[in-house]
Formats: sequence, C-alpha cells, structure tokens
Amino acid sequence: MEQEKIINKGTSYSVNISGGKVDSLRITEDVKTVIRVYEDGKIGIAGRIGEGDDNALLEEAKAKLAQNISYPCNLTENGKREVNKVKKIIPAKDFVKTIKKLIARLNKCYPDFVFSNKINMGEEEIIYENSKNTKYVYKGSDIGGGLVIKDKASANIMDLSYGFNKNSFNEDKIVSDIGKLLNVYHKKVDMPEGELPIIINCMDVLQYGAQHMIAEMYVSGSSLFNGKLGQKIFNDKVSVLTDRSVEDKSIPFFDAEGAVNKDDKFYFVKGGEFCGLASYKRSAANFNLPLSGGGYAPFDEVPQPSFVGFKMERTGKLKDLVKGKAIYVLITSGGDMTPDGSVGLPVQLAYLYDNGKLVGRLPEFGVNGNIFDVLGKDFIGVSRDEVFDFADDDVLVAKFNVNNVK
Amino acid sequence: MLKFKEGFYADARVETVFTTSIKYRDGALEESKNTTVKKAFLRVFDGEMWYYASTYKLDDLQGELDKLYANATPNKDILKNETVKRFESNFAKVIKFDKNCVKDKTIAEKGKMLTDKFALLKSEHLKMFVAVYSDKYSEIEFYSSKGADIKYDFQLCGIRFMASFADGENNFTSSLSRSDNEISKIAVSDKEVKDFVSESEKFLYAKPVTAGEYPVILSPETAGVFAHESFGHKSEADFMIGDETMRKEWAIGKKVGSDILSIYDSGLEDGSGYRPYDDEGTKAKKTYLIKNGVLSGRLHSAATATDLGEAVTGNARAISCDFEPIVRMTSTIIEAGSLTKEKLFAGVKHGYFIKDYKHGSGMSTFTIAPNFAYEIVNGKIGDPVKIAVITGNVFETLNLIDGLSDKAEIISSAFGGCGKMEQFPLSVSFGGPYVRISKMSVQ
Repeated sequence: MEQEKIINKGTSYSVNISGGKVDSLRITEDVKTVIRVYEDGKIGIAGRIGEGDDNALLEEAKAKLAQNISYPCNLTENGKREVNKVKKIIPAKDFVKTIKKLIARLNKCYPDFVFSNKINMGEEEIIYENSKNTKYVYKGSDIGGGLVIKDKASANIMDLSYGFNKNSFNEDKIVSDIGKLLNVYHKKVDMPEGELPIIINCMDVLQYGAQHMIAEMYVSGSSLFNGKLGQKIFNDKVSVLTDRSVEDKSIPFFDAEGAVNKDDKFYFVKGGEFCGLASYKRSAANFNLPLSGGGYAPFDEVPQPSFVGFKMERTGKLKDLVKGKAIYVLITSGGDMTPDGSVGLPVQLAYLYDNGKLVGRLPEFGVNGNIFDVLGKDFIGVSRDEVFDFADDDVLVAKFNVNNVK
Repeated sequence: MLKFKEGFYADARVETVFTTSIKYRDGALEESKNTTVKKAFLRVFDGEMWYYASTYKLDDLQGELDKLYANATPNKDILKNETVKRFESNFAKVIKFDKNCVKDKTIAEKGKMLTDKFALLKSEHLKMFVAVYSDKYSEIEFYSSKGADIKYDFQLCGIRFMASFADGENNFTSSLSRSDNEISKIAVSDKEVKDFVSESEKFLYAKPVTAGEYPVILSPETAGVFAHESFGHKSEADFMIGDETMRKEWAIGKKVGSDILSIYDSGLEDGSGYRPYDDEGTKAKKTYLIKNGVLSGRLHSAATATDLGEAVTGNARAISCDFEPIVRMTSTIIEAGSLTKEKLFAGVKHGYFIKDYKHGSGMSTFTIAPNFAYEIVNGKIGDPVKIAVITGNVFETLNLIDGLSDKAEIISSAFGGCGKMEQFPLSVSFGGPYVRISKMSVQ
C-alpha cells in the first residue's frame, strides 16, 4: 500500500472596509491534514481539520478504500525540494493601523468616492510527502486587496474596483494606481468612431476556453477544440500556460498530488499550437497524457483538474502594442461563450486609453468576438497592465466587435 | 458555557456540518465520501471595531474569545449602542430535519439515485456525462452576550446530470438537476432524463440570433435569478452604508418597477434559502423589497439597520464558520400575476423564451447567460436558439415587465449558490412566475 500526506497550515488577517471606514479584523488559523492511500488500483482519503493523531487518520483512509474509487497510484518518486517565499509584508500587529492609514489617505485624496470591501494578508505552509521518498515544502505569503469603489453621486451599488495580489505592499503606489482610475472617472467621453483595439484582462476571455482544454472534455469529443490537439488554433504569438514560477505571488510549485512541471510551467498552447491538455493523475493515466500539474483537492476530495497560475504569455509592452488610442475595459460582468466559440461580454466600465494613459470614461457597451478570431487574426498581443504601477494583472489587446453602446 | 465579559458585545456561532459527495463520470465512480466538519466563528464588538476569529479549536473557545477581547477596548455603554440594541435575544430550538435526515441514508442508497439513470444517458451525440449527488446537514448553535441561545438545523440535497453532446463542429453542454430539503423530493423520472437528452441534442443545431432588443419571456427559474441579480443584490443595505446618494435614490416609497411587480425575500420558505435565524441570531422575516412597483423594504444586518435607522430583517448570513455574517438574501421571489401561461406567450409576436440559465450577474446592468433558449413566433415556442447573454439596465427593465403568469415556483439548488465578495457559495433559493419583459438586449 502506498500513501501520501498533505499538510496545509495557514494564518490570515482580513480587514473589512465599509463606507470608507475600517470596521473589523478577522483572524483565521487553519491546519488541515489529508492522507491518501492507494491499493489495488483504488484510492482511500481521510482529512482532518486541526491537530490530531495521524495514525488514526491513516486507518480512516485505509477504511475508505472500501468505497471502491478507482485511481492510479502514480506517486512522484524521490522528489526533494523546499521553497520559502515568505516575506514579512506588514507585521501582524500593525496590519489594521496600516490599512486604516491607506483608507484615510484614499478618503482624503478622492473625496468624491466611497471605498469598501477587504484587504487580506496571510501566510501558508504546504507540505507534501509520500511513501516513494518525496517531500516538497512550500511556504509563501501574500497580501490581496479587492477595493470596491463607489461614486458618491451614483445610485449604483458599486462603480469601480481595484484589485491586487502580491507579496509586497506599497501605499504610495496603490493610491497612485487608484488615482489613474478616479481622476478621469467623471470625464465622460463618447465612444470613438471607427475600430479601436480593446485592452481587456486576459482572464475575461481565457476563462471561456479553459474548460475546453480539460482532458476529459477533449477526449469525449465535446470540446470546442475537438480534434485540434497538435494543430495551430491561434495566432503565432499566443501561448497559454500554467505557471507556478511567478516570483511575486504565492503559488506552490507542486499541485495537490505532488506533480511538478519542468521549470514549473506547462503549456496548453505554444506559439498558437494547441499542445497540451489540463490533466491530473487520473486523466493522465487514463489517456496517456503528460501531467499538467493541475491536480486540485482543497480538503479530502479525490483530486480533480484545475488551472493554477493560468495565464497567457506576454508578447510585449503595452505602449508598443497600442500606439495611440484604444478602449480599456475595466469591468465586464456576466458574459459567456456560445458552443461555436462566440464570446459576448457586457462591459460595465471602460475608459478611453491614449498613449499609455486613461483619458476619460466611455459609455456602457458590449463586446463580442469568436475566440478563434480574438486569439487569432484579431490578436494584437499580451502585456502587463502598464496602466498601473502596483497592480500587475496581464491584459490582452485584440480587436472585438463593439455593440449596444448606451 | 462561554463566559462573556462586560463592556463588550460578543457572540459565538458553532456549526457541525455533515456532507455527502458522490460523482460518476461516464458511469465510473470518481468521488464518494461523507465528511463532518465542526468549526466556530466568534465575534467581539466594542462599539467601534468588530474582532472576529474563525477557529477549529472547539475545546478552547473561551481562550479564543479571550484573545479577541484582548484586542478590543472596553465600553461601559456598549448596551446602549444602537447596533447592539438591535440584536435579538432569542431562545429557541428549531430542529426540523431529524426525522428525515440525509445522515440516515447510506451512501449506496444515495448513489443508486444516480446509477439507476445511467442506461438512459445514451444517444448518438452524447459524448460524456457527469452525475453528481450532494447533500449537507448542518446543526447550528448560536450564543450571545445578550442571552441569545439558539439551536436549529438545515438540510439540502440534490442530484445533477450534466451531459456534453457533439456532432462534428457543433457542441452543447447542459444539465438536469433537482434540489430540495429532503431526499424523497429530488428523484427525477426516467421520462425527465429521456426528455433532457432529446432536448439537448436539438441544441446542437440551435440557430444563432441577430444581436438586438426583443421581447423576452423568462421561466420561473430564470425569473428567479433575474429577481436575485437585478434587484435582490441592490436591496442588500450594506451597499448603502455612509452613502447619502444611495439613501435618496433608494428611498422607501419610490416607484421602481411596473405596477404588477412585487418581490419579497424570506428565510421562512422551504428550500435552499430556508434559514429560521440568521447568523446574528435574528429571527427570519418576510420582507417585501418591491410591492406593486414601489420600493418597500431592504435587507439588513444589525449594523446596516442601525446605519439606516431601520429594523433588522434576518439577512446577516455567512457561508460557513470561516467568515463573518454579511447582508445576504435567503429566498427571493417574484409574486405571481394574473395571466395564464398561454395568454402571456400569446402577447409576443417575435421574441425569445429563456427556459433556464447557466449563470447570472447584476450591477447597474444585469446579465443572464441562458442554457436552453427558444425563439417565440406568434405566441408559440419555436426553434432552439444560441444566445450568449441577455442584458438590461436594472431600472429600465423592472419598468418593462408587462405580464406575469398566475403561478410562482420556488427553485432550490444544492449546487453552487450566491456569491458576494469573498463569500461563495451561499445557499439561496429564488423563483417566480413566467415573466414577460417587453424589451431586453439579446446577444
């Protein structure tokens, strides 16, 4: 009988901001231990929250073999690696004070707006070990914010948002970033005539293609990319991958099954060619596929596929991809893709972008385009979102159809 | 028994959650498990700041509570605080599901509800199916420094068959699901499964639509998600804290929708939104958000009720003991109107019928992504169509509702739920009658 154990320890601090005022601090401490055993092609899993007796947990996992869940035993062998990315971002005792100072400054700098929602800071340690002499240890820390911003003159429940997730904190840069959105928010501009490139968060489009890259869906023949593995499906400059090597974010280098990829990356699309499927140990064994490192099991679940660190590879700098004007989409909500790949995205908030800067707020509208076109003939590039200094999401630049301008 | 200190308000929520999860893919078992998790969430309030702890250390709750007290500042007038005054001191035990508890059924019995249907999930174009059973039984205890002592239970279960179909370049994925508070109410018949397969296959060849504005009829399920997304979230009063504009714009008594429109929220309805007490110990109530087109109420926690000078409504909820309660919906329902379903459809010469949905969202513009959608021609349901999203401005659309059928249905879901900020998924239900809207944007 083979076995593996995963211990996940974490402490988090979460400050809530309501109506421009810090009103609460939440402290969460968690320890989760999961043991998986493998015997005769079956898996047994037991999980525990908090401290306890690992021998008892092991016996519980062995008893779960009776559930008769088939699962391949393909444990990683002789893997040894430890990565410590913990940084002291803000001392825990100063966290509330630091965020209060940030919010007070935002209130002062941007008195026409109300700020709310959460800023979270946490540390985690994940230990994976198995009976095939593998032990991986990851320690990381991060701070994440998702500030919801409302124009005091508006009747909407929210008007803008600003988010970040990093392992550092810089009050000056956050205030400056938010100013780039708010300083021109009240300057309304008309939708320009003619076709302009659209700058949009990569995930707003990529999320719709992701499930069609899952091995089970592809092999069943019901994927949008059916029969296209190994073929060029997108523009030569398009590469889509899972990347666990990112320095300034807390992403463990191994997945929930102890799978590690070369250079901590796995490509689904490289140079426009559809070259890999999202797999985990079950689908990799069933369909004879390489592991994409996407095994996901938040507690005592049987692993399933996921897309940790999912992204598009950058192709250049935003200022080089867009010379002159473009439409910068900040918030979309509730879009979807039809079975033939046509993506429709209602745009809740967009700005006119001109030579690296946001210059005014556009009316509401929608964008649509087929995913094969948007990432094909209409693709211009992918860049870090250089509108901001601190927030560092990536943006896709492409041509879309603009419709339904209000 | 916890010892609460003077000079503070404090409460403790302890939840024991039993869950079952069974999953088959193409007939092969992929998941089969029962899990029981017990955690607590503690809150201390000193009149200025709230201090929260989420903990698994149930044998040392007092120690965890004392750590929170150490962060807070004593306030001799805490009981005069308007928020604290609004906390109810209910003493109650409401155990509703002990006689038909999901814990009493074996995992084999639950799995059989799925496996019995596998032979029906076959067709020329059905390429893959996933069958899922899920249940949850929670026992919730709530204690506060004001003397609240509440124990109640909640139960929800559901089955879902998701299938992917393909024919050459055409593909379509859809699901058949049913959820309720009791296992006996979630079985689906053989005919329902066969109909689901044959209806889905037709959508492989669904017609594209020309983007534009059309009359739309929403099914009870879609009308429910419309009520939830378009207006329910805007009725959550935490969005109004410290915001004078919102208070003026959302003044009770303001006309916000068509005369025939009434929407209410209630934790008292059976289904996935059932919640006899909220996570601050407030007893559930029926709250009209819109009555005959007029803004009639909103949803509150004690803090938001204080901020707006209104009464609590029993809508402070958390998805688990990992989080603090925030203002959330429970069951949000559009009340039935007076038209028969046939007369409602007869009023549409050319438009679309949205039978069910994949997801929805709502800000100033709301969106619903349909799953099964049909053309309506001369009052009759026509061909299947491919629609990515239907959208509309919330306030305009509420005024464009020009017909309601005469029977409302409440839809529960054991899969997914409502998301708000960091907290997803929360069990809610929603529903309504068939709802006709004279103009919506269809893409």
